[in-house]
Amino acid sequence: MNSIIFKTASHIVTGIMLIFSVYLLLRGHNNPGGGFIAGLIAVIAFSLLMLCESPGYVRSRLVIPPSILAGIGVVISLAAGSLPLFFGQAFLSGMWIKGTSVGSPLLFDFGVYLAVFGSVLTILLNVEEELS
Amino acid sequence: MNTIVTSDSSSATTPTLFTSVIVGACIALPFILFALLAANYSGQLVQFGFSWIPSLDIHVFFRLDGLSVLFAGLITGVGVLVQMYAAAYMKSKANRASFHIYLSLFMLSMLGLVLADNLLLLFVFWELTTLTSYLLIGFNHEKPIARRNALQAMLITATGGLTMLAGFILLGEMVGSYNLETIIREGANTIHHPWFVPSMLCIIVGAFTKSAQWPFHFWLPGAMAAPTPVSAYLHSSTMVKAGVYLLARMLPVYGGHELWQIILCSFGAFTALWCAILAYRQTDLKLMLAYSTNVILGQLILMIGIGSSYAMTAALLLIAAHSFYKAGLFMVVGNIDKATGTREYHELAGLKSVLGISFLAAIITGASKAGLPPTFGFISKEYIYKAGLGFDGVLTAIMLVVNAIMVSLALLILIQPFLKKHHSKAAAMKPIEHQTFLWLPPLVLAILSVVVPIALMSYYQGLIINPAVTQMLPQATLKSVKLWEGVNLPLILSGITLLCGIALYKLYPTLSPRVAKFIDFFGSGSQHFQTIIGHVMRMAKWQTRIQQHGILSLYSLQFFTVLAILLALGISQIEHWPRLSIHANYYELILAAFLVITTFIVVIARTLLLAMAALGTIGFLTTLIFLIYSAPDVAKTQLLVETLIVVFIAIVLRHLPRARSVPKHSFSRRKIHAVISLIIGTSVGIILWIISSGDMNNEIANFYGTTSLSGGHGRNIVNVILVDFRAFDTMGEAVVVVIAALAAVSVLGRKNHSWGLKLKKSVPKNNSVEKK
Repeated sequence: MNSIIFKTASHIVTGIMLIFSVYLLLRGHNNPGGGFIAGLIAVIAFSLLMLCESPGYVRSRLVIPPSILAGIGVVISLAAGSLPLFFGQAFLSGMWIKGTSVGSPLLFDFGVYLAVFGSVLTILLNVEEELS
Repeated sequence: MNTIVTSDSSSATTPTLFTSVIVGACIALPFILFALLAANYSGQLVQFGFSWIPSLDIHVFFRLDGLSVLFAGLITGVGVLVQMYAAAYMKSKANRASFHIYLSLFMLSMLGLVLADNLLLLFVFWELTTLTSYLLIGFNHEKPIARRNALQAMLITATGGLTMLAGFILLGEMVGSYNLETIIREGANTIHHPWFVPSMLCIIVGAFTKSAQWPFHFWLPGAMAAPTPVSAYLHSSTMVKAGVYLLARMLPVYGGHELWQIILCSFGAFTALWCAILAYRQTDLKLMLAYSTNVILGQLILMIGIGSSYAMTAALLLIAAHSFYKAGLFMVVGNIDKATGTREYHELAGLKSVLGISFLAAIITGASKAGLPPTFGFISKEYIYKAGLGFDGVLTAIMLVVNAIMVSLALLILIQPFLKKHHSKAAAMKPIEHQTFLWLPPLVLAILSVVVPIALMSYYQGLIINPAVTQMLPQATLKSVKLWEGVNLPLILSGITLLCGIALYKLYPTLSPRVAKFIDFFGSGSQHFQTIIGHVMRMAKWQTRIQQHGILSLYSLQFFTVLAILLALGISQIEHWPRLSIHANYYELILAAFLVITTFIVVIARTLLLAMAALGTIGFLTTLIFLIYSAPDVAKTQLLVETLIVVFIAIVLRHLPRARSVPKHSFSRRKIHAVISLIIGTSVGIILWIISSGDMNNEIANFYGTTSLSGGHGRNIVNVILVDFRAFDTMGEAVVVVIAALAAVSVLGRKNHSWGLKLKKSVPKNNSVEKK
């Protein structure tokens, strides 16, 4: 895959897809989207980058290893779920900032996003590295 | 100093601040708990806790009464001393902080066990002690013997624990409550229930495994692979007495049944006798103590079996007496080990010169073990004789033999290792008693062994014996326990015991090897256990060889065959077939036609790329179906997953040229494939048809539709369900995804690939693709 067109386009498309994935994550509560879908889109974005460059390149651009990101994602979900406990509500109750649609479910969804993104990307990078 | 490797490892590591803080906290924790106990208990029943799972009658309730306070006091009190001792004993170990944490975790589980006021809660703590003791026994995990014995102990006690759970459930269902208070009060009324005896037997098995009764006795000496503080704590004063605690708790329920008495008395007495003989043949001092712990446990079980007020008093005295002297003796033996590097009887001599304070502690605790006045051991032995004389002569005679052996063991530990002159063959010694925490805990235990019976007996009786016995035996009347009750039959028996013990001590050099020869004839319990485990492993390997052939196409064939059978069975049960009616739009028909065509392409494709492309097409077409039925979220997810699969396949095909062609199966094999896929396809089709022809239950959908915006602040029902209504499921799924990723990485990370298990011999040679 050494086509220069593919290479150049991939870098641009990856960026656009990442922005789109964040957009999907944020709109998820009211329109089709959400953490799981957005996470998958982000993985596909990076898979393009991986195919045109190399797994090592993707890892270097990510800075934080994807497996760590996955772990952080689970921790964030757990934190979002535990937040209501401090306000006398049950585990995973939705809590909202008054008048907005920003609340603990969004944080939870962000955790899911990171968990899915990190996990699937980990598998993808490892498969590529192992086979090549 | 870097170049010099000192042999004295205790000076090699200086503790970090972190370690010191943890060790300090672990010593302070049992102390605080002990203080809390003392502050809150004054002879009356105290209950506290909160409701946990009310729908299952599971509550986190704790109770403080005579019996549980006795155990809780020992757990926290001895806990302080053991943590202190461990701080000195484990000083040279690099991972000593984790040792203290394990020990604290064990202590908390044990405390929960004896304080729990709910059967199921008790079970949870019971298993927690099993788990934490596994970590402690196997603490020197670099030694295979420690790992093996830890596993052995865990397997036996966990098996017993599960049996016990079955018993608990039977008992709880019989009484109609899992609350301990209710069970103690009303349990005995269920004596004619058909489950009464099964539940009793199950609970006895649980207690016997934990308290190391014959035939499960061998795990306890095996657990001596643990560091000495563990032996002093778990295997003398706390965990092994959990079974005794449980049986004492259950006495009001089962005590009236004659089978209870028969089982407890016979197994208790036999364990005591058999393990006393086993203890007598040992040459390792720690193993001698381990087997004599088995003996005491046997005696305790026997006392509960007898169940008279004398017997229960004896048990309550013996539990504390034994904890004091046995933990103390274990620590002394630990010190001997530290000073000389060996625990072998024949290699030890002249220890008095280096272990002066330990010797003092050993004399007192040894006297308590031998049952000499005025020690704690003396009172408890007197009461054992009283209980035995009031019950059965043969059992009393057995107790006499057992106690005589205990006397000889105490003499064995005291006389030769400490008093004999140091000679050339004996192990070299080094002084260790400059470390306060090595001699202080055993000395405290020794002092307690004397002070409690002389000065604190009335407190002991008022706080523990009286409340405990009145609860276990409501009708019993108690006399006050006194150290000296004049010359009576038990005292005469004690005298005989002492004389026999001295005689056995004199005979030890000649008699012990003969006993060993006699015992070896039966084989050790551990060997029998390993044989059984070996058979289980062979069985597991055999069935793995049959089922796990490592051929992917056979795996999927197995899976789909089972699925086809289940589906066909399910469909054959259908009685009312709905009428077939088709309402389809033209675009739906076109979609269906495309799906069928691509499916055939998958089947006949000869290259993997074509097959995969066709499969991908099926996925994308399915996405369209989701869109038609207005499920954009599902469609999107499906689309993305299909895309990712294509990416994965592309990677694989790029790097594995040999995987490019589809493997050729024989014609008969392809016929089987065809039949199975036809069955599955038709069955799923029929199921979908039946589901869609009936009335859908829209209740749930309506609920989410109306509450999504008001309760979840979102208009996308799917997402609101995912992150709010059923967020717990989502969280579980996120964790599963992460675990799957980690598993995949660890499988991929193996450098030398052996796809499937290492069972390649059975893999036929004709399947090159899957072996690659």
